[in-house]
Amino acid sequence: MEPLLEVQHLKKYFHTGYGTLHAVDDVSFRIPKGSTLGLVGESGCGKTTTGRSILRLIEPTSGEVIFKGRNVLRASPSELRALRAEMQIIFQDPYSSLNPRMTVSQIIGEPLLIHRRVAEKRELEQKVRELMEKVELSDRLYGAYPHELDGGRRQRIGIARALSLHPQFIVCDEPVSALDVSVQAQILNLLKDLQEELGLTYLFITHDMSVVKHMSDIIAVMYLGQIVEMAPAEALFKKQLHPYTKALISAIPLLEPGGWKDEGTLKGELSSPIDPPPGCRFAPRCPMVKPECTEKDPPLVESVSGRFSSCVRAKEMV
Amino acid sequence: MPSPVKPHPRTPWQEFWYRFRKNKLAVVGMGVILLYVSIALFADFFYSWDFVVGNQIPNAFATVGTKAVVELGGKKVEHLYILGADNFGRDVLGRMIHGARVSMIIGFITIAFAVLVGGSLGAIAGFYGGVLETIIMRGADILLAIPNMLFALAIVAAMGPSFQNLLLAIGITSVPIYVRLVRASVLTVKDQEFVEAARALGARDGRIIVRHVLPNCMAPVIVQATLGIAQSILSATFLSFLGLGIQPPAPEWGNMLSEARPYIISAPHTLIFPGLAIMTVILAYNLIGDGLRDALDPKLRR
Repeated sequence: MEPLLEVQHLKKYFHTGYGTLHAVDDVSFRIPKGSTLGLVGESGCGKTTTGRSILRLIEPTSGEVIFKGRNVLRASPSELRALRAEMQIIFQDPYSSLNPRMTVSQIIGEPLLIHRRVAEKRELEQKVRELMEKVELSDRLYGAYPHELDGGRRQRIGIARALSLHPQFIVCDEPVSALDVSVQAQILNLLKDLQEELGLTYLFITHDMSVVKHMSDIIAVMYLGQIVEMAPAEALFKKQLHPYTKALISAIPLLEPGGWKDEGTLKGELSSPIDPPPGCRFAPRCPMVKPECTEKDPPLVESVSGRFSSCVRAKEMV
Repeated sequence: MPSPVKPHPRTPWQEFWYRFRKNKLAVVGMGVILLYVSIALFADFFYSWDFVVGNQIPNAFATVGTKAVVELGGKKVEHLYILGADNFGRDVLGRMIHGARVSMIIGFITIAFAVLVGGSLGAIAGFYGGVLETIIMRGADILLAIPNMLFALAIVAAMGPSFQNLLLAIGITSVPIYVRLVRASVLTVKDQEFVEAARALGARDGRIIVRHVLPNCMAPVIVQATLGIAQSILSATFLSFLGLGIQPPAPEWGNMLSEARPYIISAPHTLIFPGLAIMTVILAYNLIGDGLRDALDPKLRR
């Protein structure tokens, strides 16, 4: 199927006093229209930077982002403003992502004013109320301030704001990480319902393996700025073709007696993303490391039909 | 769904007023300022301008509460000198009331100017950074390095003493504080996610600064502005005292003090009352400033 969004060789380097930090290092993927790509990885692996680079909230160092055939990274400021009506983002922290000086209705209505989608006050009010209904926010909260509401309701405001311009693509940047588990489920189901109803395409960023399993069609696993494995969600959970993915999935606690066995928990911590040496980024922690792993960056290749892995020993794991 | 909202949600204004009200001294200060402002507004209703600037030599140094005959518009009328008369026989209370007008106006206009100019420069410096920031901030540093009064004196001395030049001199010397203050606040606010959200929605820089950044930077500016008004009034009275501000016979608290100075022993009332007026107004503004600081400080919020 024709992809709605295609990311090619996206790179974002930060120049620090200690060297060049490779936050996103040659990331490529495509998301078909109406589906969800789950981007997982541990803190600091570059998931968020990837999401923001696609929307140019952070200017990427190089690469291509093609959205509906248009190159986002080469868009002029006015083209970019127009594009942003079609590509939106839901933030992780529902506390800092809402302006504390604005009411719920002002926050949700602002995008409509920016893009001149409404002609008069009454139309604005009506549209804001429709959006609030869509994300199941009570009508009474129309004039409330964010600080009066709990995390779940605040996140609904963030979702309504992102939906207000009828985007086709939404970056969900850890939208439930800051919420209670019970509220997480509500928000995740809301996002799924909205996707079905409006035909949305998501890039779903999270560090929570069970959340990503619930939400995604395709899962991309990131480690130190690179995608190490990408596969359809179900296949990935059945069999992993990269030792890092294997470790991630074996770390999910299971709710049954004797269900969880220690199958080689990872030792050590994330190595430094500053001027990484050539070779597989995961090699220093890998239980299956071989001498050739540290020679050159292993490319992400199709090991089995529809499944991509960057591990040189992927074939052995099939 | 159970009600997630308090029965009476407060707007930020109500919230602020609720906390401000708890500081009784600040409320008193606000009362004093409101009194001064209304007296200044209706100065002509109490005493006519011609009367407070016109000499009544026979009544010179009339003491507090003296009843005497004065000439007003060619007619002789009996007049009660509530706070006595000065060396030209002019009513001290009348001159203080008209002087209040000058002080209030100077306080507001100079600080409004400083907040507007300093705030805009500070917002630009903080938001855009880079060379622009360096130029603006070093300029502010240079202004800050010159003692305020000396700088104001220099401006007035160079351009000549007039009301406009007084405003300009005090206004310009107040600017750098607001540049620094607003820049610092903008730096903390601009990296918050709601600013990024606005950018993601396609908002232009102007809208982001005016709607999202500045409203969240206002608290320290309001506090500083209140204290700044007190400073401005004091500077104006000081310049007038030195003869570089408001020129006699127009009344101003500073030049009233200046004119009364030789008679401090023989006619103390000509000096004490304007002095008290200056003192109370400065004290009141400082009390309000302290109250605002407490009421607007997010760390003290419950």
